[in-house]
Amino acid sequence: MSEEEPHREVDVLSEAFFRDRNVAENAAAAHQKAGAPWRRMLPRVAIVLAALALIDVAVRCLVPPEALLDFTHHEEAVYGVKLAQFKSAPTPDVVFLGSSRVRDGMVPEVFSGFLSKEWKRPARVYNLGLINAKAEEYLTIVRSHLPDPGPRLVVLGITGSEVVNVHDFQYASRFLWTLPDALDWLRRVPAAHFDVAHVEHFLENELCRGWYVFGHRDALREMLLDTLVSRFGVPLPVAAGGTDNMGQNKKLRDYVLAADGYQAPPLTPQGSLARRIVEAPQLLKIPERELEASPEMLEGARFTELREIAALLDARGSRLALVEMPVSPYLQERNPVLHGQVFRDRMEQLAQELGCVWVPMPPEETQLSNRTYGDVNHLTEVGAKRYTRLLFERLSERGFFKEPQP
Amino acid sequence: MIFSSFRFLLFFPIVLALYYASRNVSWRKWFLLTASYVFYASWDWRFVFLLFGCTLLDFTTGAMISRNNVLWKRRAWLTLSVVGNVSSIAYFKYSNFFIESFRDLMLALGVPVNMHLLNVVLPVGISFYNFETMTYAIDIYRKKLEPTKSFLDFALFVSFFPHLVAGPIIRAAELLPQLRRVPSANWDDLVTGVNRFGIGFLKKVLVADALAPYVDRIFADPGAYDGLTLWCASIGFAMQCYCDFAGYTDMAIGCARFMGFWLPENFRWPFLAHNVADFWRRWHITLYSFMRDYLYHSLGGSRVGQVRQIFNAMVTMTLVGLWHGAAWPFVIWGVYNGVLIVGYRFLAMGLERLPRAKAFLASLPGAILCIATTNVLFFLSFTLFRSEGSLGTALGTAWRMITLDGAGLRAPDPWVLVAYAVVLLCSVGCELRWGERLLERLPSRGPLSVPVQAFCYVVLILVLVLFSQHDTQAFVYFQF
Repeated sequence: MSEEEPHREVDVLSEAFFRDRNVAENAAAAHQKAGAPWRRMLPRVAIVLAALALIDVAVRCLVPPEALLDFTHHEEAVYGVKLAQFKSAPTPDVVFLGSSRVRDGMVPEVFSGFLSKEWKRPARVYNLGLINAKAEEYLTIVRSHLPDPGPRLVVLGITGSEVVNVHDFQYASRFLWTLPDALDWLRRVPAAHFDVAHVEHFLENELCRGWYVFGHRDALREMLLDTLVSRFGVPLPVAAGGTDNMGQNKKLRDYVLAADGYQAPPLTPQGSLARRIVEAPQLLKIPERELEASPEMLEGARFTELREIAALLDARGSRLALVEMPVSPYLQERNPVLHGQVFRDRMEQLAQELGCVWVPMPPEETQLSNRTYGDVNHLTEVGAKRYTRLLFERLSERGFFKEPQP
Repeated sequence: MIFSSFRFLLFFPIVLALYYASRNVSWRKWFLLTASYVFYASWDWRFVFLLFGCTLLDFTTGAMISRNNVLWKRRAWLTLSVVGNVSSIAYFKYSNFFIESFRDLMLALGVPVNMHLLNVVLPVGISFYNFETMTYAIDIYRKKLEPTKSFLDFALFVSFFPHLVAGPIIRAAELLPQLRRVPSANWDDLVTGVNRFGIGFLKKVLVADALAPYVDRIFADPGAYDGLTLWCASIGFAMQCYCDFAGYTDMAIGCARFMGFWLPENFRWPFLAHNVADFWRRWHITLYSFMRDYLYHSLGGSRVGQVRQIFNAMVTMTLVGLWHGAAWPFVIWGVYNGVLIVGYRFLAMGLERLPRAKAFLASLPGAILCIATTNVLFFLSFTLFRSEGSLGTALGTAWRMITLDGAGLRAPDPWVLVAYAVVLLCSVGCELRWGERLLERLPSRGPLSVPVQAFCYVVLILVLVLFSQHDTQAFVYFQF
């Protein structure tokens, strides 16, 4: 057998395996043609962009975000529509700021009832509790989304898990950030905590703001699929799985569009936390961050974001109250650092430094048992009303509602 | 950073803009090399060193082979290149497979061996770029290629990001000549680039990603489903695999064409194959032609007797199977396809003596029968791909499909068949050049007018935007 001997084309494998002629030859032949391709491409690109812009305007007018709420993911609806509702309404007297614990746990109606009596005039209270918000989000909201001059009073309901590890990736921030927010984050974040995905999400969100169809693509697709199924009876592919959000989102509309930002949380089918602890403790889900050891809290965090929030609110003429948003006794027992006395001591010290009101809410004072929680984190409606009443009393005792003396 | 991700859609326009920012050839090459390494580092920066090491190895061995006229020295340098490349693939991809297999063998022989598996991360694209660098050294050894004197050119050939992580497996002889002058795209390149990238994106997000949840669900527990559902899932996986990989190739070719580079085709309507040999001429063309030219021919190719040819073909196909994954089902898959190819060869020889049968197979009904049979054989083999490394599961699934076992849950998805029909229809349309014939019949006989083109692109963009999932699935062939 000689290496120079050519292989026959027809044999066992050569018949099967075949390859085009060298693409380099094709490329060389093709590039004989010269021209100014980009100049030729520009009018086409312009026409496509103009058509997309027209379609975008038409879709925005026909199906505004409110009309898409049944098909919108919870977080997008909250950070998009709810925040837009808040910004378009007159500035309230009091804003509750916080995470989903505040969303479910502070009832504006109860609070404004007491406050109206105290002030002897109607008081407008808005619950701006947003799912998954942490200190980074609070700072962004205060800086870029609260009006100037700000609301007279801001009640920031927090727990330990929202003010530690703030540089860890926070998905929700991307919905809020403006360019200065993003640049500020880049300035503050230590190199070890830098996550390129955060910047990428910011850029994606910027595109979403400018391009409505892109920003609401999931909701538009699900609405389209829903229409195909319900009106035309088209069977959806098993693979599509696109409409999985429908149904559970139906109640989102009431909460997001509520005039005071609050809607009583629906009771879970399993009942209260106390019942679930007895009947199915294995089904209790506790987010990992709620159980972390948090050396940051023990070793003395600077709470840079909270300090900046206090300074910004002060500049806008808003008074700030830091209040403990208590998690269930079940969770407090499991992490006494983030949800117990360590956290309270640290916040008290911080409030003194900032010169703002601090309201601790230990379980012996609130008497909120596991029966008043729907899960480990969130109060039921009954619990929320009791907590709101207590909160009003504690703030009142600290003179939070009185006009500052000149 | 997969092509259908938001990250790549940010990365690519920046690369394109900076590439065309200067007409300086050197700048373009250095810039493309940097961009390609950034692209690769986005998966795992540590493996950038591996990529560089492979590049350095083959650049050096290529130069040394060319410099030496003494046969044993040339062979020694070639051996170094092949051993270096194969051993890096063997270590990263197959070490645990070999350890496990050895352990199982010793256990079967009654000699338990205590060997621990290695904690190895598979570098993405290693099987692709190692093969590409090997073609350089082997082609120089065979005196089919002159070595390049520019390390920059060679490094760019290896790492050029459109083909880096999942092919097409381009040969040095195909890309190095293009790198000598670093082209700019002309009008045809731009149009082809846009079209190929858009169509590839469409295949990926509209078909492959949409089918993935259904296919995954069925193959997660194939024993729970009846034979019909398993056929459906197998067809679904074939469509997913094809649209995923052909979609990736389309996007790779499209990206390269934006910069004026040509990459080889990897697919040519495989589901229209008339027989198993024809199938492999249409599926992952660059891999199988690599195997033919660099392995099968090295083993003797057609210069040996028929028995040896068959043996060589079986060895080649077994290694093709192993290339796809470090597990016994992949090896069996290779053997299965080797048997099919050899079997087809004998069948074709037998048909030469049966002119009426041959005439029937050349007719339309005969052709349809051939295509259907080839497809069925291919779908059946996919059970081996989706058995999660368990041969028993794969064979059990195949048996349930063959016997159309009625026991178990029935969950066929008619949309899988719709996807199959669409792929077949598009394949027939392209094979018979329906689109070009239609254009020829138009009164103007010219290309589509600008508004019609713009309308098509707007529809394409809207479909992609609305139907692409946020959590884009990784390309199936990345794992190989």
